Amino acid sequence: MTASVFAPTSEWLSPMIIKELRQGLHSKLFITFYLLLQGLLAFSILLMPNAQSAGNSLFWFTVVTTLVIALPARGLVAVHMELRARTMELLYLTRLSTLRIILGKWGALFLQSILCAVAILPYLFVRYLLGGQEIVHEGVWLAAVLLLSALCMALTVSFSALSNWWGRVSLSIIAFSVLALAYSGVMDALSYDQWLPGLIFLLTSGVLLIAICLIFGASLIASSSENHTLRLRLLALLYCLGLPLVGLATGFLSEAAITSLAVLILVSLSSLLVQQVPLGSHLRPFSKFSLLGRWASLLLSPGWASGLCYTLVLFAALTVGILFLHPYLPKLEMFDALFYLIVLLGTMLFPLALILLFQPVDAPRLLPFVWAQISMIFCYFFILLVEQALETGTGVVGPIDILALLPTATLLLLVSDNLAPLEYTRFCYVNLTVTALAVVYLLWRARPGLSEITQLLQRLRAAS
Amino acid sequence: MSDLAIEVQNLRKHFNQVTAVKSVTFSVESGQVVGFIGANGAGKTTTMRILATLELPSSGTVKIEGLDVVDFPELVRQRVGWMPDSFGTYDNVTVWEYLDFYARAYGLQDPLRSQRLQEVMTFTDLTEIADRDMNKLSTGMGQRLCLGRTLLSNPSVLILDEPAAGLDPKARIEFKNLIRLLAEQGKTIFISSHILSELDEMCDALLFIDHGEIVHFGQTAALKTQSSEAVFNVQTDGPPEALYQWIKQQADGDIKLLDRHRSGGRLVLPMARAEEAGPLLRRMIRDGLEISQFHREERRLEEAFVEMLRGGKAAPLPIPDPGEVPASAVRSSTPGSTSPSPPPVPPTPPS
Repeated sequence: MTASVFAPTSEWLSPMIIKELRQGLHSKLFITFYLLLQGLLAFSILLMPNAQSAGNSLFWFTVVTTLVIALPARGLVAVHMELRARTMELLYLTRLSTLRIILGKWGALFLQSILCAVAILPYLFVRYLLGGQEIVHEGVWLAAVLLLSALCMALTVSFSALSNWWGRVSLSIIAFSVLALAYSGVMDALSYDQWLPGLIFLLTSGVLLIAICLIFGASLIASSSENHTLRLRLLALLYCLGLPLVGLATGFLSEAAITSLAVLILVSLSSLLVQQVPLGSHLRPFSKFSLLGRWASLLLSPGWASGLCYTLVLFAALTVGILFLHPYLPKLEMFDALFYLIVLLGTMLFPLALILLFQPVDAPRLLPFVWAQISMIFCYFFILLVEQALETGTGVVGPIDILALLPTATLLLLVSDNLAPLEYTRFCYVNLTVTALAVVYLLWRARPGLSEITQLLQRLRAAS
Repeated sequence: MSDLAIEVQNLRKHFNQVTAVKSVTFSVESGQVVGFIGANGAGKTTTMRILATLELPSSGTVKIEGLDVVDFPELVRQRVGWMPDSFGTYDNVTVWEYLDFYARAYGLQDPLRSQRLQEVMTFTDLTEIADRDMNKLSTGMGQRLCLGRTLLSNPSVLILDEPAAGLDPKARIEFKNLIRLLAEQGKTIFISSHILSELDEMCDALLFIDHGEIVHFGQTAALKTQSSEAVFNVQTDGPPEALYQWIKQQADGDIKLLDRHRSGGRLVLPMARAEEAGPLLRRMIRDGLEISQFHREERRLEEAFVEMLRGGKAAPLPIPDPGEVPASAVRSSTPGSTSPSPPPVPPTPPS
């Protein structure tokens, strides 16, 4: 019977991986794909004696496309298929947690990636023998590409939990672009002699990001009784505060800053746009500790009210980090960095405050948030056109100053370098005021949710 | 362990502005087989999903074997087997691989897993199709596979949502036998179905839900006897129109026609006058009706259900004038038969 195929190791493997591998091995798609890869790699080797550069390009193009784009793209339907077929809720009732389900999906894909990487290895030897290529550098590069492949798979598998196809694809494209921006410098460094710091940075950052992505994906599909918030928020805190230090040590601080900001935005938004449903099962771990447990529950229990506290603490910690790192970084303009942080916080919180101000809802929702952001972006372009038409001089109060009231627009001005030095301080103070007002209003709205958490925690402690 | 397998108190569930379940309270003892009946959208599936920990209640408490589904969902899931009304399939997976995957997911290790798989496959009669692709199974086989998956973890409480939906008569009988065997094993079974006669045969008690509220909970026998009206099946040798006309002419208006068949009809009398069957038959014969059969019927479960939804009154048919009844409108039911037939009055619950 089929059982014997997996008998020697099956008890050690996750059930999800076994199922995915069984399905994968029965399908013809992977085999076709694998044979195509072999054909392209063999062709690139054949090109080498006469056209080394073309052979080189074709070889690495094939490797990168296969491992970083084609295989991860299969992850885009991984969880969605289970949701569509209504098999996910049957899995909830087993002993598999949603994290193990996601991990299994990702693991099965990553095993296929490893299988492809192993198939590529002999070609590296052939390239070394025929073309005199640096086998160590190429090996390190292949390892880095494999790590990126794992990261991209974690992203696509997580996003595959979203029901909207466009949402899945667009988020993946944005995430892939951020990764390309963050890791292109690191990948360049791997090509030279100083590959070790690059590899250390890539490993630290990649492993943590994979964990964050998978937990995030699990939180998207988890039933209400499961709690992934604690792990996700703690890991994001560790990443945002720890990775800049790794970046500082390895010489990849800007790369660390980019990925940290991406994590900060993803985790903060996912914390702020979630319904507040305090459950005993969620708060029971906190009830074991008295005061510490109470404070931790206000930061790390599910729901947007605690998400707000968590976001504020995360930003406060980053501010402290900038103040601490400032003396060691001659290039870092402390004022600039703090201004960016304020504007970023305002960009996330100001639309939420608007939504709660004008809509009688219990918790901010994603769609109104997106609409608010799009409206502010339109406002930014419109006022920029008006400003150009009026040709107001710098230092004079003009239409552009309206944008100071909208953190999203200010962020766009900062990113596009359109803010004149004279307007800088004015914008900073206005943004600080707007953000502070949004924070105060949101905290006021979050008060019932927070007191609900505290009361439930007290009841749990009394019961235990 | 609590003697109550399922305990539901003041359960409410609303989705945004829509209230699916309103203050539902009931309890099921261990080892009981309880049928859960209600029209589409009555709140059956929502209640069952809450019992299976797949939905959170908006308020109220739900306990499975004494464990709260909100506070201890993991422990509840170890005790509950959930079979949805439809279940998804996987591509390129055989019957055996599907069950093996779930056995692993339930944490069963070899050799216990192999033994359990064998037991379940034998019980659900899946051994012969073990290597067949699960996408190529008939509905009946699919339901047996789904039941097999539900039984893998050996749950003590089974929650089955419309398990017989879409099955042909043979598969339905086979499925009913499986449920009966499970009941004999002492499992608590909470089962919903539209086929009330089947539930009648399988269940110890029936729970009726309408518009998110429990309208009745009791033993099936009690339900059939708890009626405000008595039903009589009358068969005539002559044309049935004469009988209908006779009913229309009765001055007291207590006698009503419930259902027509080729050679007669079913009459209802208020329960207070149920003992007047003899005088009634004598009056019919005296008035020239050629009565060949006259007997009191046990109330059908479907009628009890419809009557319950109508607030305790079975709706009689309007009596047409002679010659007004088209042949197509005459129901072809066998007089005196207790086999399931469509309910005489379409269920139109009060809005």
